Amino acid sequence: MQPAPRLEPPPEAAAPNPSAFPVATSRGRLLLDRSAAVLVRAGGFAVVFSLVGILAFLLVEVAPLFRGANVSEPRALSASAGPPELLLADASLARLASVAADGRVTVLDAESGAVQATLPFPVAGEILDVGDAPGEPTFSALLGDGRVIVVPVDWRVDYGEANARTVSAVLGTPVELPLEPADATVVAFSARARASGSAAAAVLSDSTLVVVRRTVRVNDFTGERDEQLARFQIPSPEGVTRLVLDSDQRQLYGADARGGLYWWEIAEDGVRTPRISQTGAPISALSLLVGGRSVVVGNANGDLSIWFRVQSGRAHAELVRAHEISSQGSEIRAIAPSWRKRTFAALSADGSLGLYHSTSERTLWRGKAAGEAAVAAVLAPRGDALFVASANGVRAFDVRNPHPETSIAGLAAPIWYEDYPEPTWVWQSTGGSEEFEPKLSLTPLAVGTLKGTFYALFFAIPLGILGALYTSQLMDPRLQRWVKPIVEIMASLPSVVLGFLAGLWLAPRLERYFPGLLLLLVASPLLALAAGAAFRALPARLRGRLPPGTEVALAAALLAAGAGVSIVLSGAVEGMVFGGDFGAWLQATTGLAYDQRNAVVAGIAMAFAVIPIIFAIAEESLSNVPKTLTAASLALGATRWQTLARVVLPAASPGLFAAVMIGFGRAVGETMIVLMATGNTPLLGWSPFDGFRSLSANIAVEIPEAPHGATLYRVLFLSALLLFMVTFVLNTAADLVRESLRRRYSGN
Amino acid sequence: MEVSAQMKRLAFRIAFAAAAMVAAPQLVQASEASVDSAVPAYAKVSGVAGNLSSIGSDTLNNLMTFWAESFSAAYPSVRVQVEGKGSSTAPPALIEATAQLGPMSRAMKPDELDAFEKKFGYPPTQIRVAVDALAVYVNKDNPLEKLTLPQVDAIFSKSRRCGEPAPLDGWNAVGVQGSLATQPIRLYGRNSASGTYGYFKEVALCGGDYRDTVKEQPGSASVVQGVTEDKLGIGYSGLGYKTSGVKALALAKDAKSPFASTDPEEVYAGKYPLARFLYVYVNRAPGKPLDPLTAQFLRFVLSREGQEIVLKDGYLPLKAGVIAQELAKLE
Repeated sequence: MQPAPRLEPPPEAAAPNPSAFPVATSRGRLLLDRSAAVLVRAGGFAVVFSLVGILAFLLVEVAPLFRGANVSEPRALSASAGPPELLLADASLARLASVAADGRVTVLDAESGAVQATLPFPVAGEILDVGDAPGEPTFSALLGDGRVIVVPVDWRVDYGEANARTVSAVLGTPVELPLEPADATVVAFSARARASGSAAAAVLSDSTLVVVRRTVRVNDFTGERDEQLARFQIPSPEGVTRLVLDSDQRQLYGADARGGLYWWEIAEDGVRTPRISQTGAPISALSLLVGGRSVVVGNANGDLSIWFRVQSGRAHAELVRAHEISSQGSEIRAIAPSWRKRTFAALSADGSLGLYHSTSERTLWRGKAAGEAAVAAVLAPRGDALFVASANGVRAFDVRNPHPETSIAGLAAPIWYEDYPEPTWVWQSTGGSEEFEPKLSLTPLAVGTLKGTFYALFFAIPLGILGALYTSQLMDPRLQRWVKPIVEIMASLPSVVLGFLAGLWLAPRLERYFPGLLLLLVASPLLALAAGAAFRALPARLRGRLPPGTEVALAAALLAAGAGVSIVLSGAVEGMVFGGDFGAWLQATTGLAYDQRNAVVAGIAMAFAVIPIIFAIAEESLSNVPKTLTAASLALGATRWQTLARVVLPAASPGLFAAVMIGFGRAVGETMIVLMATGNTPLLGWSPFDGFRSLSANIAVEIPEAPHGATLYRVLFLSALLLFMVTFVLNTAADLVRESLRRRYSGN
Repeated sequence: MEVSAQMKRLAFRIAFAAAAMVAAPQLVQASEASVDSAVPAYAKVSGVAGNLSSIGSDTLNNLMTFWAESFSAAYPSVRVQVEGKGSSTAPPALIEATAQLGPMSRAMKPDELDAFEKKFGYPPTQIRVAVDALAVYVNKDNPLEKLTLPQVDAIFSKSRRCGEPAPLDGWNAVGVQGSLATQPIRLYGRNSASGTYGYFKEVALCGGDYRDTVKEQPGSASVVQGVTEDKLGIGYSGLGYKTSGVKALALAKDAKSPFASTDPEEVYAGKYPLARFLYVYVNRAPGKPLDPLTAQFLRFVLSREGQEIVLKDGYLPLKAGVIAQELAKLE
């Protein structure tokens, strides 16, 4: 309550000279005044500083996402044993194995280049050729008698005193795969071995393709072992010069010198006829990225492209050129894929080297591999070093490349992922193994955020604004004193409770009574009008005698009855209008699926959290419309409705706008309700009948998974930065508008 | 079969028992799974005291809590704290040394092993502590009884890597008749921090992607709760969270393989395709003994008493052979 204005000037005002006050009091007050001013200013600065600090922290966490790779100057490691055919690196970067054409393995110290050991090939016989297995610590050799031997290279770590580790290479039990080429010679081969089985594939000079597979089944619980050997032979197209078998030993890829790219599927019972794609230029290098689905093709012109199989419709799957990397300018000699990410290095005939990422199509680094013609290259298993071999020895590059998979375009634009029929926006950050291709598009999350906000405001704006209008302008002041605290209590409900209730209590009930909700949405405004009309129809004498607030009670009772009747009639409406099943009707007529945890459920729960904010601000701005204006309007003969619609509303409109903006900001940042009431489904669409995943809920869901400093961790910080900026801009805009409103009234 | 012989013996005994009607369900339950008789009982040692902290899997959360309670009961001066937000929280906790025990429902990924090795110079030690049959649940009123893994894949995944030719969207597509036939399938699953999420993706989806419509729940219990409340729902989580509101489906590896239920004998026989070990990871420097408190806790877990608790929580105990291997890792 405002104190009644005094007619007499107060005694202090009569003596404006401060010296008239007792000196002690004056000093005390001045001190208090000054310290309060300092405190307030300090508080203000603290707020600004912490805002700037948060912004700076977020930027520091996000910035590394967009940096390229950091590659050191090469170190020369001496390799006396002639030019190696292929290289294998130990994950801890202590040792490097180089395999010569005769199968001999030389183990080098990866730091100094000193030769640690020389291991002879474990199987006797003439060696015709050796081959690598991208992403696996094995190499294979083709023997003169038609056998393919796969040799695992195990890195044994011994811990001496005080954790001094020594790494040594041990050749594991060789796996034998008899090709039985009869009189023909082997043109190209590829072989792999792992615990679950091994396989070798070869193209023979008589244009046949031979696949030999050994399957091993082991029961984890009993230790029983079951081994089977199968051999398949089919005609092969002419001219295949390269083969690569994938790590599952299910897909085989090949290339010819004319630019044809082949793909054979190895089924349980045989090899399917190949699919052939034309790449346009002679293929000079072929490798597989981790997971074995993406084929990297390097050609004689120095172009690099990534191909994977795509199933479009019911037709047979086909290899498509999904990603392209800007040309390296000279014939690609070797491609070295990473074991952990879709990063790979490419080596050209002129010694130029490049480091690329397939999904993001980023060129991470380009450099030179020291002059002379290089023959082999390998990325260390963890992708933190690159070894290049030439006739004169091996060179090592240290690589720092923590975030190759993100680009600004990749976070917003559609990206073509493996297994997907076309480029699209996907959020799916985590897999069960390193073979997973992270999909980090923020678009579905941004859409989800806006979708949730839209449905929250759909319920919150009409109820909040109209409620405020009625409460501030038309309601009896005695009732007002009840309504405002009740709405404030609404605001104090923890959102996790709202989310829990919405997800587990409201969602199943809403599914059962959805037609009832639709009925209520139509009926409630009509019922409110009916309540008003009924109240007006009462004789004026009776109306005058009723206690104030009766009209509210009447409307509330009518609405409650309407809600009850809507629920009761829900089944009947469903039977009449929706053929007895709303979900099935929806699916049949609109193609939309009804999900129990949907945007309507989340919208209702979020509206519960947003209404008090909108109501409070709107009510305040409506109440602050100067009484002089309304009094003048009423005095000039306008009705209460005319005054409300033509005087109060326009005057308060900036405040109402601010209320909506701040409600919007609240809904954008809402986390717990979205987390609990929706299924956190990162969908790209606006249907009210399915769920969504908002940026804020996504942070809450994924941050426990994100290792500190990893790409996912930084992308989550990026989404936090986005949220911060959106709410900052919204709240600032709302505040500026409110400020202008205040200034408008200060003149009166 | 050994089990059915056991059942007959039991039935014979029950026929003589006065309280047959009351005792029968419990006795049958006991015959379904029991701790291997070769597993030794726990021998208490003196001088065990201190604080233990466990951070990791949600699937193992209840089990770790039960173990912790019984262990603290045996050693009153021991305090054990258990936190279970998801398997992915275990490696960071072990690396930062905020926990001595890292329960996980999947094996550590190479990235996680790399991070651990980078800090300590050696890999963490993995101890298998229980067997879980990861169950695919439908609502108890759903008539569906069984699915093949390629079908599960085509229901949950958009990649369909396991080989099913077309996506399965409606209940009629998996052969359900009646009122459900015209209805869509609604999917419930775990959030990405969960080891169950990763394991299911690797094994049941053949490494493919989940559909965007899979509702990611923050805990195993909320998956089961979701399927209980949604008659069109299907979800996956550990066997220990099974309730009367849901039904665990029998699964087959592919269309040619026989179906197997989550019954213990089928799981131990390796027939149930989603059977897995549950793990606890610890930090043990090579050549040095594990700290005595952690070692005693794990000895307790791997004892007869510890494995009885596994059974009580709804998971399956380890066989004696596996326990001997795991105990050797503690030496």
